Amino acid sequence: MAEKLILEVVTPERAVVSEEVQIVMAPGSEGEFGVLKGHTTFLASLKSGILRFETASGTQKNFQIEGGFAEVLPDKVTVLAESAVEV
Amino acid sequence: MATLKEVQSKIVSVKKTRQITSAMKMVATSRLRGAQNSMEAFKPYAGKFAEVLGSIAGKSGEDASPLLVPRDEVKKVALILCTSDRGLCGGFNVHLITKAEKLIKSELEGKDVSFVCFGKKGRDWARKQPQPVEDEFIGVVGGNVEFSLASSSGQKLIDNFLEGAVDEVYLIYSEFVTMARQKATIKQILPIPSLEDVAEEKEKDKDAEFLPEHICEPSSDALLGEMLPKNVFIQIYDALLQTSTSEHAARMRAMENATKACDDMVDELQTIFNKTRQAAITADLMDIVGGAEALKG
Repeated sequence: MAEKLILEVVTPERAVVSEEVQIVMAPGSEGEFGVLKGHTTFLASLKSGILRFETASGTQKNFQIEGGFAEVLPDKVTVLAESAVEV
Repeated sequence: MATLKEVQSKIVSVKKTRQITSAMKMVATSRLRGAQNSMEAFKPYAGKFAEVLGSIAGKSGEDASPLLVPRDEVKKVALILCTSDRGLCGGFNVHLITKAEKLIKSELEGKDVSFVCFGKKGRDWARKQPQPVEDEFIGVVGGNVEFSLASSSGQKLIDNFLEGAVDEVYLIYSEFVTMARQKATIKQILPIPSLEDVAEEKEKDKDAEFLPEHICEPSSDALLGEMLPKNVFIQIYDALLQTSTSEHAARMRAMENATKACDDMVDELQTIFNKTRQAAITADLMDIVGGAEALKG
């Protein structure tokens, strides 16, 4: 079982987020999905929408993302989006 | 022999030119830093994308997307020509344009070529060619390159490709190898060269600890279909970033050389100036001595 879950949000212009999180909720093209640590490896395309996550310290953050996809590994979630802006 | 005044005004004018070239060098240096930063910032995205693409490409068939299928008969070819907007950067644009010229005259002989130009210098050249300029983007290269531009222009090309308006798309850009070396490069972007190459390249990467079995949502073929166009955008974006960085590096070097040449010229002119001045003094002295001698009688 993975110790912690790292979230990375990357756009072509820069790396937007790279931190430890408790949970990630992502707008998958076939429905929103949530990821906790220890999730099975998983690849999903994303539609435009809000990416929500809770940091290790418990603060909620929301990002508006524009098209892309997410790669989920047991200890890491990588979101590749064309743009990501905190809201 | 030039008069003292002429030499002096020449020195002043060369010094002024030197000031301009050294200022331009400074500007190019700082812009180069910015361009290099955005190239660095793009790397994680491109790297991750290639990794994921490689891992699902291995699982999908050749016919997963129409973008992969080469046309039996290639008639219409689009050339994306990335050049700079401004000159004074040495042979930078000339190299790119010669590359395009050669490609048209050799491999693309007898085919319908059209241009998509990023950058003024390439466009100005393309306009003088018999082939049409389909699209042009000025003020992009060397400035702030935005991903949305790469994706909108890329989408247009993909649409044209799918409709059969073009059969092949090539990208000509300047690869940024090192500060001192920029290489004009040709890359085929449509149809996308076989995915096996992509997969192989990925395997060469040592971080292959990447787990091969992914659950995909939607199916891996559908995912691939979505990622391939993006791959095209990424390549265009990458080409624009590299061309921008190369342009600044090339200009920096050109301006550095120009500044050095100015220094040499000033040195040379200074020597001439000193000689002329000395000659004038000697002539004056001769006059005075000659006059004094004459008075003595």
